Amino acid sequence: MLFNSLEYFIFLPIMFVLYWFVLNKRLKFQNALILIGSYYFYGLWDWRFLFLIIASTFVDYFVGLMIHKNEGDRSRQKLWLWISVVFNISLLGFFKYYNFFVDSFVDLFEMLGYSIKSTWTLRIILPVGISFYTFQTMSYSMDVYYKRIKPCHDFLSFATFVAFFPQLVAGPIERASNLLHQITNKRTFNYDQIVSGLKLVLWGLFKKMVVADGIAPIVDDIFLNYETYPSSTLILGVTLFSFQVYGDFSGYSDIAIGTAKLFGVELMSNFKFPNFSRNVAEYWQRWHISLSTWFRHYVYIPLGGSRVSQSRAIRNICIIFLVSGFWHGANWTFIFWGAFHALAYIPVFLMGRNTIYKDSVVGENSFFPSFVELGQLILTFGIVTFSRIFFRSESLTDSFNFISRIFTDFQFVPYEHPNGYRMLDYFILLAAFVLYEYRIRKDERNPFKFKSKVVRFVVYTVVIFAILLFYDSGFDRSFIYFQF
Amino acid sequence: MIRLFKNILIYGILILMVLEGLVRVFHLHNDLPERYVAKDGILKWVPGQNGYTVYGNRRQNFAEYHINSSGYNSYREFKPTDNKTEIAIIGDSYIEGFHQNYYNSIGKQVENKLDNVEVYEYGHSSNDLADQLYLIHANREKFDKVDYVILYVKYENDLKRPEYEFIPREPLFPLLRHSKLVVYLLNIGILDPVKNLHQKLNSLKNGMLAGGDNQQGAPKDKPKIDRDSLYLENFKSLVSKYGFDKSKTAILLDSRITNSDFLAYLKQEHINVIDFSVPFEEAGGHRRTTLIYDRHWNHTGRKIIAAEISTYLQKVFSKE
Repeated sequence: MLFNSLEYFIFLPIMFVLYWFVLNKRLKFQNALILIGSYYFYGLWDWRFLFLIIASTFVDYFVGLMIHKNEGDRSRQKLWLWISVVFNISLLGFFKYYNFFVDSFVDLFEMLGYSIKSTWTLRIILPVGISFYTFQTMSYSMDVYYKRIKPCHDFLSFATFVAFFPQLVAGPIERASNLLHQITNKRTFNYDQIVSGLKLVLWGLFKKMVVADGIAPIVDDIFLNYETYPSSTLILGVTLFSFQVYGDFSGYSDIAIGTAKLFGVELMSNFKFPNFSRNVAEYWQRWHISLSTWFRHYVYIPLGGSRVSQSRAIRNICIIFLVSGFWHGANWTFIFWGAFHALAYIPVFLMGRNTIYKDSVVGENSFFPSFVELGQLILTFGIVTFSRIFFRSESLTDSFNFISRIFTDFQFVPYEHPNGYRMLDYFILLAAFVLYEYRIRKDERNPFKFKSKVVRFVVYTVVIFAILLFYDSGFDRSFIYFQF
Repeated sequence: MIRLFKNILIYGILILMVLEGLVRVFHLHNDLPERYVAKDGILKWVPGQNGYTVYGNRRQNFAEYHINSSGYNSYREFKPTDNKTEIAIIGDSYIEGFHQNYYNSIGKQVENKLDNVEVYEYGHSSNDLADQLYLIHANREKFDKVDYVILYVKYENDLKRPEYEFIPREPLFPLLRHSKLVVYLLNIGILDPVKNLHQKLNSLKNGMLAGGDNQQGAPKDKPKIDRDSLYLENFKSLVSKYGFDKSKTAILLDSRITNSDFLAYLKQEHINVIDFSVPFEEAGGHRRTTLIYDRHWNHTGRKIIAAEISTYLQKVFSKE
């Protein structure tokens, strides 16, 4: 079930009413409702893969209990932790990476001059959300192991924590220390929280249906036919893709966070206006925050983080970016994307500027950014956008051909979409979107922060009207990050 | 809780009202004309209506229409005579031309290319070959004066019936259509899931009324008929029932989406064909021939059709 589908807008109010008005007397009933609703929500894609979620839930629930039971016996605890890690990584490895490894192995042998006819590749369907829920369950076991949390003894609550439908298929990847206690404790109906949730759902829908889906046909055309377009069009294509992927994924996250609020649950922020980052390090503090946090806590810090020698710190940065790239997909393009970001991050790290913007936003004390900041924003956006060529291309060959055409076929030709889309509409849309996001840049959880009720009403109406203006029924409306 | 529902209701109603106003102010909705059943028993548009058709969101296709006294969207009245040269193009919505300004239709473009010719466009949405041949049959006197007839046949849709039968066409949610916002939402497809649900419920209801067991049993009893054979039989049946003057009729079609046996039959029967597949194929590379949100022909597509018809007619008239 998609967040931007009619089914969801029937499902959600039913869940809401049952949750707050029928089953509100007992927490167990509310959790049972969320669990059943979540399995239904997921099962509409492919009910067979529900078994993977259930298996992952059972394994980590049991692992958590066993780690706790073996308190004082660190080696046994470690063994149980490894069971969780191996199990979840195996799920990912088989469903997501098996064919990649086989193909890469065959390619490697061919490069060495041996021809192998591969019969090992399998027709595997990638289960939606597998990268998200496996990371979430693993993090639970690790948090129990590192004594950050106590194990959950209530299986129903734990299963609800794993399958919580707003964030089941594309995050935010929650850590048990943030989400689990909200599931195990009684939630109360809070008017302000629910209104805030509805606003986020509306803003998420706008980002998805207007910004991302609006420009998607243009991006698709340019990347599909890049060999026929001049450099100006290719630059336009990758720039629009930058907005598309941001609108798509941050829109999803907003709807997820907003939906969770409707059920009295606060999920972590996943995006904090990454397009207004002043360097690549700040970008990673603002883009897909739940994944960056996950890698920092469970990979980077255990490796020593930055509190080691400079060479080891650089090695750690490389590892974390390569793993992050690989997490996105079983394709060399994602590994190159990760490597590119590592290369862009290392100079910032060496200059000691990787945390300087941690607690501030661009134009902190003024309405407009300074010229220096503007330059920083453009440079960072340019670097990040360039890296997206790897992210979007089907293969490494396509990526390099795309880049090569940008630098070798340099000419400006106004782009015309073969279907005749009016490009001016999209330029106006994106300009308005960027300006509006700049206006609200200090609070990602409150996109409609206006004192005047009239202004708020006008903005709601404009947002809904824009959804109607850019809605395209002939377009596949699923979310980009579902493939990960 | 009451406060939440009250505010949602108030905001919802106010937003809907403002959206209704915005849709009207920017004329984003489609002004679909009214239909009526004419004396010849054929569904037509009520004469004298003028308005604008809008397809796609953001008015991506905005065109003016004019319904003439014969009940068709056209810049001219259909009054064939013995001494002038008149061409009739008969078809469905592609010929009806609500996707272009009525004064720049395919017919008008054909007229511009040929001298002293009047083109009558008998197009009506969803009409198939049964509707087309019945129209000629029911207005024999008028069509006897027409010098040449071109029938647009889309193989996939137009050969499903062996004979003409009046089918009333009611728009979905007729009462709700008073709201221009609803009209707009229906047009851009945002309400497609509701439409599909409505259709599913209707077919379920009809199935239940007809008796579930009988419905399930029916396919077993029926011999399996090949679709292409059925369409060919339907064509033969329509031709024998309503007549088909081969000397002054041609079928306009796209051979890429037409069954090869059907094409062979037309050839065998010496039925004239105007095949626009090649120019469409050539134009279809980067500059496509259909609209953005719709499979109807865009300006390029219509231009090609008009050119193909004109070239064909020039050949026909030069032989004469």
